[in-house]
Amino acid sequence: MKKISKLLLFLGGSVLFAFEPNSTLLAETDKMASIDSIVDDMQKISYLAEKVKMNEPYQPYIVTVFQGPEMERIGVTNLKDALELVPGVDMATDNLDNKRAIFRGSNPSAYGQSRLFIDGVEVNDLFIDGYGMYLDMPIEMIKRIEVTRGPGSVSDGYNAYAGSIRVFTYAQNSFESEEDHDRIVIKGGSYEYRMGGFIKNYQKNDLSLHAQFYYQRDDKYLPAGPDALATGIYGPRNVSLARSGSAPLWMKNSMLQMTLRYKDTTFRAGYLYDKRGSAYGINGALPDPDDSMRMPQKYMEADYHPSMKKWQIHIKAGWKDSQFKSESHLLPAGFSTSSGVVYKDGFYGEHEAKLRRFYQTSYGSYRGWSNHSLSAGYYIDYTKTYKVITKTTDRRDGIGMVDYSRAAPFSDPDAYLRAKRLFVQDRYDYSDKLSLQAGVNIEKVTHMKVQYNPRLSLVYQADGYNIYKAIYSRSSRSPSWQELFTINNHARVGNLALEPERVDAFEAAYIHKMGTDSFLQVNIFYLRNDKQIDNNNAEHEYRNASDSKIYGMEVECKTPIGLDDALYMNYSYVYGKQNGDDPLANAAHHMAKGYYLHRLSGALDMALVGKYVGSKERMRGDPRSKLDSYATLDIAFGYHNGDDLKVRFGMQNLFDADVRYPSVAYNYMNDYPQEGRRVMITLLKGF
Amino acid sequence: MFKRQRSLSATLTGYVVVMGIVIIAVAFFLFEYFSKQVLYDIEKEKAKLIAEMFAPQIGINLYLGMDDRVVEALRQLLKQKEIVAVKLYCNGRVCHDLHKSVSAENGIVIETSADIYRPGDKSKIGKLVVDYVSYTYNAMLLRLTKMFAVFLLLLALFYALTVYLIRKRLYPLKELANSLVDYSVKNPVKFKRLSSDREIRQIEEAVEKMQEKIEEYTRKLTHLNENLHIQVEQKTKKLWDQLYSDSLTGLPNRRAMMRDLPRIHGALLAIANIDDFTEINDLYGHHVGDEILKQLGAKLSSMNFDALYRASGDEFVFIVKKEFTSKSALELLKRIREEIENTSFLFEENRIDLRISIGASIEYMPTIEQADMALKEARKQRVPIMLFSQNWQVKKRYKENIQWVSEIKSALEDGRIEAYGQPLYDIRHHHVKGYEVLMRLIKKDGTVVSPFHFLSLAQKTHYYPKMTRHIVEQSCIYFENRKEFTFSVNLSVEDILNAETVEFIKERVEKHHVANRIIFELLESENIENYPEVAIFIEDMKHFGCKIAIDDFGTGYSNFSYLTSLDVDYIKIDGSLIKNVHKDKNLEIIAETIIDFAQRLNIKTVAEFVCDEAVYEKVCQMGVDIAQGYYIDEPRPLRELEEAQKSLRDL
Amino acid sequence: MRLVISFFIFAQLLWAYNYNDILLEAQSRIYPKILLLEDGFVQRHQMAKKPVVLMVVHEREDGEVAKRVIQKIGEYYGGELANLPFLVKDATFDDIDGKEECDAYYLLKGKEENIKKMVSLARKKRVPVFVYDFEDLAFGATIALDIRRATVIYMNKRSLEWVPRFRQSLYTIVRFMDV
Repeated sequence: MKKISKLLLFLGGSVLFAFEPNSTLLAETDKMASIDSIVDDMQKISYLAEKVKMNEPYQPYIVTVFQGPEMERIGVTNLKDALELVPGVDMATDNLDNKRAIFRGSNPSAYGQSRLFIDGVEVNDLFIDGYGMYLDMPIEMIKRIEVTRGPGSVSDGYNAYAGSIRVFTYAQNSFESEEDHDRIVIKGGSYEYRMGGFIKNYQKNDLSLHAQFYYQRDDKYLPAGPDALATGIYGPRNVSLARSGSAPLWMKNSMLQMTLRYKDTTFRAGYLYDKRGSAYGINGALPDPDDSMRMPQKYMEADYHPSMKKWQIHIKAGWKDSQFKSESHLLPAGFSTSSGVVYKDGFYGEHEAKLRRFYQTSYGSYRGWSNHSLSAGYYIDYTKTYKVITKTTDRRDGIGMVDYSRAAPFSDPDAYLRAKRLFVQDRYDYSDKLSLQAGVNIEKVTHMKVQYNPRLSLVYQADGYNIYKAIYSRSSRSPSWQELFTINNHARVGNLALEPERVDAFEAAYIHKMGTDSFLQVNIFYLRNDKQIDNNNAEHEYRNASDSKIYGMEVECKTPIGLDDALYMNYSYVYGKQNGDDPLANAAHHMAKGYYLHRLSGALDMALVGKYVGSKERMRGDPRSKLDSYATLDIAFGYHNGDDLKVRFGMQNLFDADVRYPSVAYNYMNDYPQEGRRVMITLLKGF
Repeated sequence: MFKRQRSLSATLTGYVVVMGIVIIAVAFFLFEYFSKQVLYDIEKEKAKLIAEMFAPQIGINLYLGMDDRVVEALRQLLKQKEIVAVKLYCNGRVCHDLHKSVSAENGIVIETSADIYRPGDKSKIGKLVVDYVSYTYNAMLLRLTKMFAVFLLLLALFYALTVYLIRKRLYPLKELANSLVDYSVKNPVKFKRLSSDREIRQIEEAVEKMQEKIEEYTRKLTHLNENLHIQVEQKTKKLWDQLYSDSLTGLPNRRAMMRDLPRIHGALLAIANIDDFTEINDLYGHHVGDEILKQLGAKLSSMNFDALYRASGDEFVFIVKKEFTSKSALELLKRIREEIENTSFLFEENRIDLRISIGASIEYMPTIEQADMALKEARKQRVPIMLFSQNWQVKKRYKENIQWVSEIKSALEDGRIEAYGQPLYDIRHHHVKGYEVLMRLIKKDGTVVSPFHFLSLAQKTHYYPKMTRHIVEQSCIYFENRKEFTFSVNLSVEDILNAETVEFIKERVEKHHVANRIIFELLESENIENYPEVAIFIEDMKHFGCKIAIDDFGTGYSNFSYLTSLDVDYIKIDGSLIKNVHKDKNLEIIAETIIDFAQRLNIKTVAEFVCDEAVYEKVCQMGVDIAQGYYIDEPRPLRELEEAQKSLRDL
Repeated sequence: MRLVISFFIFAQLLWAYNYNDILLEAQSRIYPKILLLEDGFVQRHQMAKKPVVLMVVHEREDGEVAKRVIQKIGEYYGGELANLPFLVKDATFDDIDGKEECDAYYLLKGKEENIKKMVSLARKKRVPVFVYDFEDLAFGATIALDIRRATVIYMNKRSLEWVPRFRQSLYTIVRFMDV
């Protein structure tokens, strides 16, 4: 039968085009004036729209996309501020003030549950698997942020657990520009914040070079305390040593990023310098004002990405370096141990670790087989410690410093990990309305069992206005370096017997498109988390200690109002139980966020940003009452003179609300208070 | 049933012919179908496709009300060579009807239609009907018919040739078969000339060789048969004798006794047993013991009993067919005993005096079990002769039972069921790894009684589950905070079958957080593998993290296979194997087999009854993992364990 | 791939309120090509030796956006459409009175009454009305391009009564709205 159809198609071909009126005349005119040219353009635009997630409502993920310029306009200052506006996403911190985004209340104790990608390079650090030092990235350096909630894509082999954050800078492929994104930014604000940065592009024939750099510092100290000693975790004898005061949260942070593209090959390199105050102290004792931590990161990646008509291929190899260095007063003067040692001058520690990872990955997609879009690939990496230094006060008598790097290093100096992943996925467009997607990601990491993470999804587009999605996915998170290899440390004990955390996610979404630029989206989800890792036990050992069942919903709405106003709002609700019947700890049941943008005149506009984060329950065994809810309001004004000069003024937390991030039990009892009212002035000149 | 046999070549020819007919029939059918129907369908499909190709265009123009473009589209359609007429229906009536005049002489006209839909929609707004003329149809049909005729001819030729060849090649085989029909040794087959076909020639040669061999074997067989008859007769008699007589004494053996006994009634049946016969063996050696048995057999033979058997080892059974009273029977037995004890048995220069015990039954249908029971009773009461009595046996047991039940009941009430612990010593790491918790009943007078004496009875009462739970609870409480020790608790099948007990155990294990330290010992001799409940229990408890041990392993029910299926963690080698393991080579081999087996399965072994240093050394040497027994320490009340552990000797 | 990238080298309209850049880009590229598919369009212009004129109409506040659109079209077509001179002009809704020479209107976002006004002007002139927001088809505009799972061109069936006809092949790739 198929043959017969083929046989007849040649017949049809002649029929179709003979049918075009004035066809003879057409041949003479520009080929631009043909329907083929239009169809071709339409296809290219579809491809681009998919790439920048513009047709996100039709994609089998739950994604929120924020455009950098829009964020700038509403007074968002950095990546962290922007993420806090995403539905279902909350911020958490810890004693090192290593902040991370918490997706839908899933294990606030773990870092690596979400992954951060900058221009496609995964930048979670190798030590704790977090990305806190990138959260200060100025918004002016960011072109687009895509936040996928749920265990995301398998098509490029990264197995995000609770969510993934993809940041695209102005070096990002499809938006590469000859001139328009070159800019200089200067910012200044509260806490003696100062920042300067630039973006510069250079292009000639097949070669293009993109560089961006920023430097920022502040002198932030926030009230904190009493510290963990007050809770008696170091015994009653040390309770009286507890202190309250200012936590050193100052930072010096800068980043240089280079992208070099020649024909089908792209090199990316980044260097992040990050030095900051010791925050709340590794061991929970308030550190000295000048105590510091450094977490510099380096990466380099080569990406060969030839593109044939039906094939898209990436062959990548890269290298990533993570360092952790802390120099801090870890315990106060007069501290005594259970074995009777008294640290007369306190306990001082210098800890340093360097890790390096090499990776190679190749993946490709093929769109040549009827309505299928197939993709497959593999990923391999090798990570190793190459430096561990541990110097502390003499642990026998508390007098003088001793190098314990050999005798008692704080991280296993011989540790290494290998990871291998294999992934396959197919999207099948059954009809204009229905498309199905199935894939699996298979992962094997040293010490761990093989993990199989399938993903199934369905997108149904009832008509131009209503879209439905259903997604099932499973994902796993392999324990971080810290969770596996920390040794000789009382506050954190690594455990080689850990198994990967696992989540089964069931998600459904309904999207109602109200117009070209407005939509309403409702998501519901159910997450089953197993083997969640934490060290909230008497031995402080990392264990697969808990499981949780979380369900909830998110409502997101964006609409222009008239020609001068725009409104964005979202509300998220999370409810869950962990370990049977305990309430889901440290997660707000209710969150509502939104912004309102108003044009005052052609050159002047203003924006209001509001956030409400509900109260948070405590962990079982934590005697404290719930952490209070808070609501903040930000205001921003912007002016541009039509000659690419922009001036902005923003005031965040207008009413000086008391914003606190939760601490775990028996730590800082009064949690971690965050910034109050603050201002920011931005000057941006584009070329 | 007789079945008519056909010649092979006829059958093969038949098959070929039938197959040929079937193939031709199928080919004919296919031809008919293809040539007519399929060809027609293809043409129709072509027509439909052309119509469908134009339908969307026409649909759009119709929808947009661009009538001129509709007509133009229809004209375009009509321009196609094969299309002779086009009709467009809108709203159920013909709105356009176009045709061209073409002679359809050499072709057939096919009418087909396509629905017209609104663009981007599935709602029908019209129908396009086209007349399609196919010129190729008839030509194709003719060509196919020709091809088919040639094909049939070739097929027929092929089959004729096949039949001819089959018949020709199979002819020698037919000949051979015919000549073999009349074969006998006296009338051998002779081949005039050998076939040129290799296979048939091989058959012919083989037949000739076979004939020679058959002749030779026939000769030999005739000879052999004559000898064999005599030999078999002799052998059968000997075997018969061996089966029913004892080779040492020449007396009828136990098998003979079992054969005869059911026929005996109204007689005295007695078992005589030499006291301390093993000592004779040990003292003088087995060859002397054998000689003594021989002499005793001869002595008893001389007494002319109605029947006399050597039942086993040093046991002789004799029967006196006569009605006895107890008194007369006892007198007879006493006389017999005296006569034997007064006889001196000689071996070389040694004079050996024997003492014997006799148990007998004078029931109407005396059984060997009754006599045996009497003999045991005699031993127990330390009298030489005892007659079986129905009475004393029943009464005694009944009385004992009553006593025990009340003892258990009051012990439970007074809290005199107590948990004792006996250390399990880890041989490799030289420390006490844990304890076996044992049940002890403390009598009112303070005597400590091991469950051996009352357990089987207790299991039949409703007190039993309470006792088990009591022990489980006491041990869980005691070991809750002694995290360095494991502890094991004995469970019987009855315990596991009792759902409440199982529930109780789970609840306690969880409550006291001992799941990873408790070991359940199941008695190997209770056929545990036959109870699905046991398997479920083991699986459940292992899920909790508990361990499973098989107690008294090696006592005869030993079945290695279920160890794997039940997934046990420990085997406790039965004490009877261990306590003499250093003396007895056989025990050593059995124990070693078990240990080796366990090691292969990754099961730990425990040696029970390690009573002295020699045994301990031996079990260490054999590779046992854990030792338990008086040599290490005796069972003590749980409260004394800690104290005892301090004074435990260092092994 | 590079072709795609170089096609879409464009600036972000940082101050464009509620305009989607990719959508603007797509419309700027495709709308003129649709114009070429008008029946007899090329011949008519060749004979009359008249340039092709596209009028971008906007609210006063969106002047910046209109300028960007003109710039984009200029960059892409270089003042020439299928060998015909090609002019892109802009005007606010208030400035338009229907007397200006043009072959099509391209309406950015506008108030309902403005869109309606433009539609009735176009009706008189018998020229097609392209719109940024596909919702504006409801007010009688002719063609809107939108990005769904794929790119879609919508055509208002009613407005076809008065706009010139397009080539048949265009009708096969568009989706009709009957509003």
